Amino acid sequence: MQLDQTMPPTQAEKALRRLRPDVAWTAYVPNPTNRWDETKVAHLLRRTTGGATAQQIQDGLKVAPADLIRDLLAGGPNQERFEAEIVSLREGMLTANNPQQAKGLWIYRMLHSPHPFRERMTLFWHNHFATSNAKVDNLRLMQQQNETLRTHALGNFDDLLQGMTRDPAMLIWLDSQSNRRGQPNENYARELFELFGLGVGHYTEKDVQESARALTGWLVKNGKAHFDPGLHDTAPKTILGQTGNFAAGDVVRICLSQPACAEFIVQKLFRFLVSETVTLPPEYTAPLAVGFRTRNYDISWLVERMLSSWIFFSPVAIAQRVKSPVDFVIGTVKSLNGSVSPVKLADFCDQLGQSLYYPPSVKGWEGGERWISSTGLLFRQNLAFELTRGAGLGTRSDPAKLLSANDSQSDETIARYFTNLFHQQVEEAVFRQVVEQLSRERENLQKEFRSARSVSGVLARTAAHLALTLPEYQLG
Amino acid sequence: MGFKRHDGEPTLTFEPQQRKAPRQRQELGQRQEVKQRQKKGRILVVMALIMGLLAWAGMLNGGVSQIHAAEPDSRQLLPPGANLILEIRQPQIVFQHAFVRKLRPIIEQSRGYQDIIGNPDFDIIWDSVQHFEGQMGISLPQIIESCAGESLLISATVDQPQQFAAIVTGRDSVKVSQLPDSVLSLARKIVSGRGQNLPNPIAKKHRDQEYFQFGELCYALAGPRWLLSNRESTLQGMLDRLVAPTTDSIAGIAAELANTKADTPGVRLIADLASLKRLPNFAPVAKWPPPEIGPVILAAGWLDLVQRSSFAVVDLDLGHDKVAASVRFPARAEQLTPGTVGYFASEPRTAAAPLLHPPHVIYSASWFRDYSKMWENRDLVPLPDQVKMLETQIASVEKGNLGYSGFDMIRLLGAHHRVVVTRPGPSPYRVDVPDRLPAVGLVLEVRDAKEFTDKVLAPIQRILGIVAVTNKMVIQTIKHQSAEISALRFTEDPAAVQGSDRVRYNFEPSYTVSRGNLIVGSSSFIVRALIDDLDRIANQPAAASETLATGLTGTEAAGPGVTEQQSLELGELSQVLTDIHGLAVRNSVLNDGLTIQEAETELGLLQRVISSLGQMQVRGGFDVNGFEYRITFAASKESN
Repeated sequence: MQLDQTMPPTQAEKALRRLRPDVAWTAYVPNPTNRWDETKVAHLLRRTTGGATAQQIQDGLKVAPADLIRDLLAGGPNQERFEAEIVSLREGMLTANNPQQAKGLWIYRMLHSPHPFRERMTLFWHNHFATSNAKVDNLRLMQQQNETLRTHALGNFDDLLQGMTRDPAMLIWLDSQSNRRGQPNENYARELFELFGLGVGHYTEKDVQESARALTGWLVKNGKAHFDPGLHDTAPKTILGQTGNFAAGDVVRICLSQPACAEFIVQKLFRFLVSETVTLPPEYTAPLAVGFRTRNYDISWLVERMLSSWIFFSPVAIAQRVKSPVDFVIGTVKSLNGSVSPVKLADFCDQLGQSLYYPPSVKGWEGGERWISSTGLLFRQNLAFELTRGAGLGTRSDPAKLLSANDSQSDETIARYFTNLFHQQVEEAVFRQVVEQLSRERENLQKEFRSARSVSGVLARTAAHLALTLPEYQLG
Repeated sequence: MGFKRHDGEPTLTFEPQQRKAPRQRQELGQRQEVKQRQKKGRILVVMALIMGLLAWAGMLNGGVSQIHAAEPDSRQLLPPGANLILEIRQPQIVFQHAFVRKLRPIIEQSRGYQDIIGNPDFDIIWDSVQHFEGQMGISLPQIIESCAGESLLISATVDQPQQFAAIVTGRDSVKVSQLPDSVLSLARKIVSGRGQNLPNPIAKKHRDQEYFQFGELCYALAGPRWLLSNRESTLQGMLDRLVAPTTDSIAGIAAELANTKADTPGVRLIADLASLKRLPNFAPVAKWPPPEIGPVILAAGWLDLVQRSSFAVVDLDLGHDKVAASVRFPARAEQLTPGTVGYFASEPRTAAAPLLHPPHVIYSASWFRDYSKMWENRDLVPLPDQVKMLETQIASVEKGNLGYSGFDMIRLLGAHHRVVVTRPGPSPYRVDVPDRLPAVGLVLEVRDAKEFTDKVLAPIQRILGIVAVTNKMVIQTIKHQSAEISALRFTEDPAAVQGSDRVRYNFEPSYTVSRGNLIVGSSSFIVRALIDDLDRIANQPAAASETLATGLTGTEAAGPGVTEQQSLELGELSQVLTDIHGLAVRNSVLNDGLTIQEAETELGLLQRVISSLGQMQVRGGFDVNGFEYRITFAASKESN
């Protein structure tokens, strides 16, 4: 695929052209003209953890990029303890059979997990293997699938695809229950090739039909995937040029043996982790796709290469994604170092069109510019207001508390703190407008009986709110 | 902040001098720590401060009649004719009270408290406190003790013209004299930012006594007293009584105020019902009969008390290790308004049944209400049309689907009603329910068990059969101590369990008619426990049963006239948090945004707070002085 020649190239496309394919994926090494600065650290943390506090950004500056990426991939301490604590929460939630609590629990994991990048990758795979509880109607099975996605999120794509092929929620979602000898149902086979493994154009209708036969016999019994040999079609099948008495595992194996599979996953991960505004030409995807395949579909290797590359720390990637609703709420709350009800945040995500466990179709959420609408922006502004007003939801995400170390702060300091925290890149003219607004508000506040700290607190809330509602903040 | 000896008791006070010590000035960390502690302590006094400011800025006035005394105390200065009198005695007790001493260190650890301390919105409070401390040269607790340590008296006349009078009586005349200027300078600070200016008070004289007028507010300083009123003549009257105390006998609500020992810390509010009932807004409440029959059924006794009483007294006693709140009406049991007999235990030898006390009881309540007697006397309620309509409505269900009459139901119900909440017993289900909810039981006296079973219960059982089938429940019969308990259980087949909220497996609705009572419970376990407890009470020797009847150590027996008793065991209540630990943590995490560790910590603190409160007891009924309803919190001994 070539860059679109009919439209003038964007800044990101121009930046890509400046990077040769053989250099693009080599590891970024800071130098005097391309320094390891707050913008890059914040960019890396946004893409891998959702968002970061000012302190976390400063801490990141003290570590070499490669080391920080390695730490992010490994996750922090106490992961086992966190998982053990989550078990009782999850069981209670399943007992209550409450979908909003299930969504809230996942939001909680995204906010507090010692391995936030794994949660982010779990979200990626949730969208990749999009399964909706609207049809599955069983939170326990949805949770089970979520755990499978989490287990393999940074593991091996082969294991993940095999796991999804026998996942009870997926079996229900794509009608594998009715896929039996003599009456094949092609839904899963078609999506396996089109959406999960190869992409359109890399398989034929005949491959789908034959694969469906190979997948016969899998059912859900007592909440578990169950293979009934009596329902399985044992006759020989020909799939993607290979013939044999294939079963479900063979279909996945054959799919993974196609070069298109690695390219397909590389493209999709690039869009999620690096840039939505640039479509990579084949000469850029090839080095990663070949490496991914030869390393037996090691997802960790692939994401580490992407995150540590020159491309990732270039204008090709920085602020080249539209924040999804989940990115928006997680990033905002994390940056504010807040403690906000995960269920309420899940409600906001629902209103913004990203209902966890309920993707709109098997294609998942389309993302990109689709996240931006007049209604959506209004909801985002409402949430920003809620989180920064120091009351209600904002009681524990109060920007005023971030400045409490000093009693008095200048308007410029306050504005700089929050624009840096949320954006890293704000035009000077926009920044000046924020400062002017704060000055006007300070003038009014000083007429009241307030301490200097109280005035700074109110201005901090205003600055945070303004920064969160700027168009720039919708990009991550 | 430090402790200062006062009357031999340790008194929690702030020591500004300590904050200024050179060593503390040298070390930033220490200073910040001190500042933080000051803020924490100040939260506890903010209420008292606000109360004082409200008194100063109040709108109403009132008074009492004359008082016998050679040396007038503050009560004798109050103007006559007040509808309401509020007295706060020794407000500084709040810093020393056992509950505060116990709860403060626990609450200070809580996340909510830290949120308040860290919120700059509350700076206006700290800044105001700082203002007072700076102006007066002492800490806020010392200000309160010096300037209002004896009492704060507010009287109000809500009838036109509205008046208020306040008397703040302190223990240090010098400090009291500084208080008006401190308040005024704070007010000036507040309004000056808005471009407004406050006028200077105008000095005036009344019989050689100086007073000041500030807008509509007039005030005077007299020794350790600060007198205020929104009417000049009222203030002048107070100054007159200061010089020449009246020797006439006191009457009305002021007499009730005089009955309170002035050296007992607490709060007393006295309402002159006789005058309030004449006010247009209050009249409908005091009218008998009320315009509708509903209030007669629901609140006949209370309406009767208001109607017959000339005043009502609300007290808050802050004893050493307990807090008691009560409301008293001087209406005796003998002259009940016709039509209200039966609402309270007002007749000789009538009383609420003893409290039940099954194992692990959290809450137990017993009340007397003789609906049958009220029904018999319905013609005495002067609402003939509405009574007739009610009769028609009740008769409409007669011999209907249920096959019994509403009159039968009223006639068969006794006068004794009891409710019990206990910790959950063993579950009758195999399904694992991680969140165990408390069990609830209801014990209603029936006058004729056989007739009640035949006429009322049998038809209900038929309906329950249909309910059980439609809700996938089964009805089981359990025998216990000669009683036959019917229990409705949810089915436990996997299809029913999956996809449902398992909280419902906390419930096994059960009932029986036994020991002269209809016993209904959320589980068969509590019904069995209630039967056992009824047997225990019945088997007590007569003399002992009076005491044991309450089932609670140290609780008075329900003697004649006691119409209601309640007991809340806060130690057991705190254990409920253990039973529903998973649910509580889940809610705190998912709905309140705490982390799991924070939720565990907060729940632990909440448990400590609840168990520190020990026991709550409620008792209401008639005695020789009238009707009193009293709620007492007693601190738990083990955590003292």
